[in-house]
Amino acid sequence: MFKYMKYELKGTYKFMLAIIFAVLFATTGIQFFINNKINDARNAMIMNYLPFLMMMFMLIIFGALIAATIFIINSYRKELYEDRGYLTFTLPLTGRQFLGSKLVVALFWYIAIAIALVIYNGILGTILFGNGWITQLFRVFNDYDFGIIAINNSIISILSSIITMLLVYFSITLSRVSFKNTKIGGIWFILFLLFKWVYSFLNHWIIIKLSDVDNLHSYMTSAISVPSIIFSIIVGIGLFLGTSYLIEKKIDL
Amino acid sequence: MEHIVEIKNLTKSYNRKRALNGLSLNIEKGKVVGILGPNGSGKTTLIKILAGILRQTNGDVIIDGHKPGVHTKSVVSYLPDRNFLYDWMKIQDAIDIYKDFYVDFDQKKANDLLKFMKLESDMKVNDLSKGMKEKLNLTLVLSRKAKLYILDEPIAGVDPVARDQILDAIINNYEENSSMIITTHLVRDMEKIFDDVVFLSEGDIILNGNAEKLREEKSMQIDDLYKEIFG
Amino acid sequence: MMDFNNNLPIYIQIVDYIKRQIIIGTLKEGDKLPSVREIATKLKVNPNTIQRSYQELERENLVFTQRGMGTFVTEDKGMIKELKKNLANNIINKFIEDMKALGFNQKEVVDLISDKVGEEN
Repeated sequence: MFKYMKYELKGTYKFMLAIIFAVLFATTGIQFFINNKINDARNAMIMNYLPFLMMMFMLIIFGALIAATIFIINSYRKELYEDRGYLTFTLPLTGRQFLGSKLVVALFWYIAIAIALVIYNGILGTILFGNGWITQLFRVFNDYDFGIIAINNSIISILSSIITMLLVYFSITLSRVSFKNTKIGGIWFILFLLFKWVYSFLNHWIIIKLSDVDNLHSYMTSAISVPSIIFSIIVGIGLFLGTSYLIEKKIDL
Repeated sequence: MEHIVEIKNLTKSYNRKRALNGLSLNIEKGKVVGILGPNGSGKTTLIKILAGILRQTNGDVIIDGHKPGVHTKSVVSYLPDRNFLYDWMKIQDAIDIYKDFYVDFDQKKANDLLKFMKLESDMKVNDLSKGMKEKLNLTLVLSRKAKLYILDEPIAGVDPVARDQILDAIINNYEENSSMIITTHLVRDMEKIFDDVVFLSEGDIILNGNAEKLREEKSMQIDDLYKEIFG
Repeated sequence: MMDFNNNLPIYIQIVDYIKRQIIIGTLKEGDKLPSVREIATKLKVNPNTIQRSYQELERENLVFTQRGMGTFVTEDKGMIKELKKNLANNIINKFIEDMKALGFNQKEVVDLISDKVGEEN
């Protein structure tokens, strides 16, 4: 699997590095913009701009992740629908090794984008604005159980993104196997929305019925639903194995 | 196990159409077999099933004692009828991926073939002409010491000089322990390299035998026989 | 080079071609024949077929193989002379058959030949 990952990385790094540079460039612009604003109005503090900063930050990271996702989805589709599949699927590669490579490299890039953004902006921010923002951030984290909420949401987000990626791969693969003659490019997306809706519905139901969470609000703020996490892991594994099986045994090029 | 390939009652259907109609065929080790027939006869369908990228509807296919799958892909070297390299690749990347995935890859063979075809490692695959792409694909396929080579239309759409180079490479590659299956509709250019020939028409094998014997029996070249059958 | 448009199996055509080369002297007695692979590549022919041709020539004692060294034309000048004579006879026989089929009798055939040869002198 690591052998194939090498080629998957080689094929994707140019675009991904471009995204990272674009994003670093954009956030640099924002930081300097704020820097100017602070220097102009002598009494203005960085703290006034913190919410604005965070929002822009979120938007940019969101945009970058969307661009990366579109690229990753496209590259997976190309594998199943274009001539390059004649190379990939004649390599002595199992379905799991193939899918594993795709998934790991995709996650790697997501993490790389996020880390690059955070570290770069952290350093740049410290250079421009000093250490103050770090202590302020810690205060925010400690004060409002923000920490727990953040960790909760992080775990859920990470699991959710992995499930989403697997759902995408599964939908694309399934539509390639079942609807081979259909030229409609968007069938996989409809399948994806369908499966995603089913998954979300079941997940919701599990959270409400099977956890000691009285309503969704407290789930969001403090409780972790272990059954939900287990459910997601099972679904994830099922999707992985199912897609691998389809790739290895059912694909007709 | 004297046969490298054993095919029994192989059928492939698409909706209502039958691309392969319950055909049976055995390929002996060390033979160069030509699969001949017009477009739509089922040649490429048969090849893709052997290559493991198409599933049969019915019937058995055994290659080197295994059903098509990960093992067979490691002993079968397949040349498709299209450009299959990733478009970001340089020639060196293509060599690398073959070297990484195939135990039977022979670096020296690859170097010799690249030199013979006048290709260099730092060329970008996308920049190559059609003939050069074809020669590169063949170079990769023949750089492996595979048990079975499957070449799908290796000289179609290629200029005469490249054609000669490709045929040269194929003949030089001949190895007693390897077998070759070659599909073509350019019978005249290729017939002399076949040990055996199989005529395919609309999913059925209509004639199958040793090329020299057929020449003797029918008193004509295989090309003429082809024209007689399909004309 | 070689023209393969014929009704004969390839290996026989190659045998005939090599025989001609021996007769006309392009391949002299004791000369080494090109390796199987060389000829296979040059003529775009399956090496097995070339091998079969060489074996046939060896069967007819026109060539001999030395392990590890290659295949060589016979040193036996008598053999080569005999080959030339046989080939000539084959051509003549065929010629006579063809002429007979056109309706010529033997005397007419001989006259035609004398006239033709006289013309060329």
